[in-house]
Amino acid sequence: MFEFEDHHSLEDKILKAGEGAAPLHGGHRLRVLAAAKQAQSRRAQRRALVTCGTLFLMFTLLFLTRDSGTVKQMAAKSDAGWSKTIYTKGSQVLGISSPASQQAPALTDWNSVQSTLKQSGEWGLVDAVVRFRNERAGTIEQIFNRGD
Amino acid sequence: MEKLSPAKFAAQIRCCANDLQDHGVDCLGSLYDLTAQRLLRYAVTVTRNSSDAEDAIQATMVRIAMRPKILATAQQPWAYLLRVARNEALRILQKRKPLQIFAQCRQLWSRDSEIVEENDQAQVVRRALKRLPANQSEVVVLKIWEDMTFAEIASVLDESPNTVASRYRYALQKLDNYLRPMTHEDINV
Repeated sequence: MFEFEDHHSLEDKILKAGEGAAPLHGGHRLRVLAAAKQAQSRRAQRRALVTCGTLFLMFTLLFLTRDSGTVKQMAAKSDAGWSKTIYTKGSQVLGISSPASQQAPALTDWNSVQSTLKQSGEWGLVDAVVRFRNERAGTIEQIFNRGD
Repeated sequence: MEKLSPAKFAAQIRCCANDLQDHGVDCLGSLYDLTAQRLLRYAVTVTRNSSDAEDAIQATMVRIAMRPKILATAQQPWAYLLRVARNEALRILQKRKPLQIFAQCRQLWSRDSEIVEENDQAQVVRRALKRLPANQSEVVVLKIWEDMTFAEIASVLDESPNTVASRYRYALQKLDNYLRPMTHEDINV
């Protein structure tokens, strides 16, 4: 049976054997200090690189998102077939111009309307157009809305 | 190697770590002078060769130099340092695994030659320690050379204190067996 008490002398022997068990080489200290300094400078370089990269990224993002801050007109009322203007900022729609603000009156080329209707054979409409042209009763849209 | 009380030794390590934190890598020398020899003595039991152990100590010192705050605030700075050294030693061993078979052959060869060469008792004990499995010899080293308790050793090795104690017991049994013939020879002489 193993007893710890029996091993005091063995422990003493091991303790004595520990003195000078693993001598360090002369140049090891210098090597370690040089390696630590090198690691420190590498770390500083990496930090500087990360800082520069972050700044570059930030400025790039800032530059790219700068334009989207301005209000843009997605569809102007001057576009063909569209009477309103849509104002946007980025993907957000800020507003749509009301038709009431449309100042310029619609000018109808009565002769071209009349000739188009004649070609289509809609003689009732041709009569209505002629009547409205004579009376200056309104735009072509008003004629169609009335269903004449 | 000057033997300090564990508390005083820990306080000195903490002091060096604080210096390192305040003044940078230039103050690493004092920590090295204080601990390198003892760390190397322990690392050799893990790596089984002094050049790998020296590499492990270098990696340990660099790691500590980069983050001295952890060492300065550690509850047991010496145990922490030993643990870092152990991890670095194991990492080096992991990298050199393919070459391990050659190292083992060399070790077997040197074991044969040592029987003829050794005559110094301390050397005989050290060689007997080398013959132990690494997990047992490191417990012996930490217990006897580093004067640590089983609980402290358990924290370094990340094992339970009972496991550590039983490893110590087995290690002493084996060492007793290895060294007994030599003792009888001494008595006969």
